Amino acid sequence: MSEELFDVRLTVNGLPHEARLPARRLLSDALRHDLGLTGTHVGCEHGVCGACTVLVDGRPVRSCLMFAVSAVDAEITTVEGLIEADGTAAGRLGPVQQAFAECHGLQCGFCTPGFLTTITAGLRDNPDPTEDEAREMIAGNLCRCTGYTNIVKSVLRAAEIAGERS
Amino acid sequence: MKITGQNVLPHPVEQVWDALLDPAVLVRTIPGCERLETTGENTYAMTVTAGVAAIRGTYDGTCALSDLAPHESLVMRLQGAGAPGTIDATVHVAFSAPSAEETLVSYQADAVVGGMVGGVGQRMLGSVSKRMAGEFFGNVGHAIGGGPAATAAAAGAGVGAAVTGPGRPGQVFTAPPRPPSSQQDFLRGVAVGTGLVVLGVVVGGLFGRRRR
Amino acid sequence: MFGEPVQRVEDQRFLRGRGRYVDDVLVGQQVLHAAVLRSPHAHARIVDIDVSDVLDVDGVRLVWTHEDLGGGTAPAMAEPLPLLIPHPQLTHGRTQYALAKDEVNYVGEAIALVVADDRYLAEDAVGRIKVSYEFLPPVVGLDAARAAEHLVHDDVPGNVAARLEQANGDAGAAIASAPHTLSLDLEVERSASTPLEGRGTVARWDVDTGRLTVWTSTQTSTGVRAAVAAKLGLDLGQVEVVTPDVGGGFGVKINHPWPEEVLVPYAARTLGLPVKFVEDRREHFISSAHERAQQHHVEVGYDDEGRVLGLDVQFWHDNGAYTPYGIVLPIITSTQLLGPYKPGAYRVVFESLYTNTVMCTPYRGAGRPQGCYVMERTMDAIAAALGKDRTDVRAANFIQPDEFPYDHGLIFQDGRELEYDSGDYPASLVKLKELIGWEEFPAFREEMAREGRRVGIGLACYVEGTGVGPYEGAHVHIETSGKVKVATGLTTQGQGHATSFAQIVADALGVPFESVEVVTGDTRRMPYAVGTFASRAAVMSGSAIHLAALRAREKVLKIAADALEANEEDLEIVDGVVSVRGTDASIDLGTVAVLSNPLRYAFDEASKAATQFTVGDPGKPPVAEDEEPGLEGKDFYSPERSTFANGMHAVIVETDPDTAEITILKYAVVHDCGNLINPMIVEGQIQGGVAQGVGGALYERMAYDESGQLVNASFMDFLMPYVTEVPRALDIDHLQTPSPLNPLGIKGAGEAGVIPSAAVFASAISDAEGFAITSMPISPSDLFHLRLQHASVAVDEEPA
Repeated sequence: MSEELFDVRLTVNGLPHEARLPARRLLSDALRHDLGLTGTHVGCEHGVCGACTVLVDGRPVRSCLMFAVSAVDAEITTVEGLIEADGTAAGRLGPVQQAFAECHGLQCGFCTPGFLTTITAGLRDNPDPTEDEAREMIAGNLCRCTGYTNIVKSVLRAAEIAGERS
Repeated sequence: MKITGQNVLPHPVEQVWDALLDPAVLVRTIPGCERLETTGENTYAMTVTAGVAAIRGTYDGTCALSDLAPHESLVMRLQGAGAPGTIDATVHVAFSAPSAEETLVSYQADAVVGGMVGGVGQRMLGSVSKRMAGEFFGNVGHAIGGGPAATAAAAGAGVGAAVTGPGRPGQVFTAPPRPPSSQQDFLRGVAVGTGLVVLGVVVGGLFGRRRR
Repeated sequence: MFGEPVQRVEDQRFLRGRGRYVDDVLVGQQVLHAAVLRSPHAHARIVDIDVSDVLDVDGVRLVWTHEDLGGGTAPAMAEPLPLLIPHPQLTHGRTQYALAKDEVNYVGEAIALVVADDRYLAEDAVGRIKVSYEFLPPVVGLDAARAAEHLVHDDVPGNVAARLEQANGDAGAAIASAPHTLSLDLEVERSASTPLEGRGTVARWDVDTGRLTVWTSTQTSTGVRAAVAAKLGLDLGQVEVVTPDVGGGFGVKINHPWPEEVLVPYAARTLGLPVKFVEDRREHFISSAHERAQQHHVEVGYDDEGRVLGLDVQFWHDNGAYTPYGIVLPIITSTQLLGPYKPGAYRVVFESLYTNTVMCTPYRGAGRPQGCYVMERTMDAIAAALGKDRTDVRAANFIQPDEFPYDHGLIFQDGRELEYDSGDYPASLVKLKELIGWEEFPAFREEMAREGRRVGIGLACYVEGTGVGPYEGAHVHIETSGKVKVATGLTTQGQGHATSFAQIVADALGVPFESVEVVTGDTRRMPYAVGTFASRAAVMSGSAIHLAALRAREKVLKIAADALEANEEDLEIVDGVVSVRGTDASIDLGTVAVLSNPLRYAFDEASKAATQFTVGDPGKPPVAEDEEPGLEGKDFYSPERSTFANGMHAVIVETDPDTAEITILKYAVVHDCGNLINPMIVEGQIQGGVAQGVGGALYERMAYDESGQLVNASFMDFLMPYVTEVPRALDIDHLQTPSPLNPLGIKGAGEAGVIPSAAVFASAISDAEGFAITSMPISPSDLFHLRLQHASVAVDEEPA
């Protein structure tokens, strides 16, 4: 019993990646294991925790609920793609990432990539959120370490930094 | 490791017995058997390619039948070694006839498996053995039944032509490579190939003797 | 840098998606994947296991059951997993086998292991294994365990694993002669750590070096190393454990070895290829560990001031199907129940009972939340009976600041005396009342009542024994580049150890914070360690690192004094440069490091300075008699007893009169963990703990049905708090009574947030509703039903 494999090209963080995958390979697994982009994490595999959130054509999507083969025509953004070019090899932290570092918005870091992508998209839609709106923005992601207080602060700080940088 | 099982063949016990003692039958009914050489009375050297899980390999070994109680029971001692590991098994086979046209073959094996293939787990080994045994007896049943295979084999005549009787020392039987298609095609191919090869062996032997 | 809210160094890699968690290890390289067949029944005998259909799955490398364990080089694999913490009263301890032998005792117990080329195929294969069972009656819940109509283990009478009694004074007599008495029955339900990252293990056997490397998402690298070596029949020196980044532990990852932690290395060695196991969320729910379930019966005798004259507590602890962690949890409950109080006499007795459910091992708080719940409900009940303010009753019972050290006359979970070293409970209470607005609350309640809104206020106090032994160690190495490499053996799961420990070294050595690199949980770097649990990392490793850095500093000064031809007392180290105070004479640490190792062979420009024709006194040996080459400091910290942190929480809740929805209006924390290394990190720990506490108080429970099936084994049904469930207004204030037991005066902070949660919410909801809350968690639905129950009882009940 041998699975049929498909040659697919996934566009992730602006770059094309070729992979040979069975139809049932989840996007989360494809990103992590086939493409080696391990920044996207898997917390529950049933779409509740949000740790696997990536942006598909700019919208937050649970990559654990999507098949890789159905992402072939999309522009996928993962946490690795949130780094901004600044002339150095490492690049600099994007506004959301920078805010998290300043506000202690992460502890173990496992849920963090999902928050970063979700908030990136959220701030695109609402660049200047109130505290209530900031809470709403992250209300679909679970974190077991921080208690969310500093994540809310990070959202507001990220809005500030993005404003400063533009 | 202990493995037990039974299979029913739709043929009278005398035919089943004869088939199991015939190396020409064995070479094309033992799953993965590529080569069988008679080394003594009811003893053979064989080359078998078989797999358990992801571990496939080729084994060289011996098979000796003993304690023969015609149409009732026999003991088979199998020993083999290959890159994937080693096997040493003693199999007690009993025959009974639930009806005139049927034979119930029951076997009880005591096996020791070593090497890499031994690491796949006892139950996997047990399952593979049962599957191979099932395949084996199924093949034997077809071999006896003849069908297209029998008529294609030019050596010998009539039903059961594939069965040529116990081998003589030095006699080598080989099987052609297996195609990955259906069981029937495969058996047919084997029978044709074996028939030709047997012919070839006989002819070759003649030539060989002449050359010597 | 001590006391500074320094930004964390680990964030740089986490934020870029460059963390290295266990499932990231060996990505892109050849690695096989393991999957486990788990029991779908809570109690059954295994009759047959048929794997014949697995043969049709491509890429399967092995399928093992118990029979495949224990041959040849590793006979110990066939034996049960180790009982980690033995105790003389644990007369009937039981642990599971790595793969079930003949019988399964909980849904989720491992029966067979499959290894295949990828995880999908391995799971396909698991799905094709057919097991036949003979069902046995399951024992589910404490009531069933106590009734013992059926047994979990045939050879454990009454399902009792252990019975332990401790006493200080004669509680019975004190209660009998007390002016007032009360009796309470309380219950806490099961919950679980539920970190966002589940368990996982990767193992690679290197045939060239004869060594096994194991990466595992654990809280104890040395514990796993020892267990794996023992099970596989390897020398300790042949096994190394590297703890990767861990996505949360919260206690569940202190238990070890998991079946997979020994099976995966065994498979890697057998197959000669690396093997990886990573569980999924359902597996975490049904095959890791839970905690919290207890039933308590309290008898208390008190006087007119509410002072407790005698306290007698009997309780029953659900340890699940096995007891690998011994009876540490109920011992913690027994002892930490006392909180900041000094009852006249105390007796506590517990039974630890088996049930056919997931085993119970520590979850943040580890038995303290239950103890705190019991004590605080008792305090509230006394206040209600006497018509007194609840904070006054607490104050009447506090151990006073001048009574330290205070010996309770009991034995704590570390086998040592329960002696509190320091604290100022009255001062904490004053702060708490101010923070929450205790005195202003009655007016607030009236104002809300006029609007038809129902509010309540509650408080809870606790004491936490932290910094449990036996020891931790540290190694500090100053390299010739000037970088300072630090290693300690315990592990990290998000606490920011690399940052706070670097702060300690920066201070002790006088080096820039950025030049310090800290590694935790790697047995190659520090093989002597215990683990991360019981809020001990800062105390134990922090102290050891401080001491080790001081040793390195001693050596630096010695060599620098020699090189600068000065007296050691005149030297100072600032920003990694040693200088003679008040002069320009200086030498940087990197050069000192070069000089510390007399060389025959230079290997670069800088090292020429240490070669034999360049430096050294020909009249003395290059390395002095009791010295070692190099600039290293190694030290260990091993205290005589734990150091006791404490805290108090208060909360104002609103309950909806119609729907019984519970809303948190304000939450206040006063916390004393001695001196703070990094206040930002400590606050983060408290905030996280409070959120976890809210979850445990209001939403989280393990719902087992009578067949022992966990019916809410997913995030859809096990309700962990989102941002919407945590208090918006969370005020934290600190008290600092430094610990006298370690050089930095630190106490642990990790579990603080979660210990008093169940108690504080019970206190506030009771206050809002006017009737006692005696079991937790309490959801709006539970509250609704409780209201109906109480409505049918006499109306003259006092608010509790």
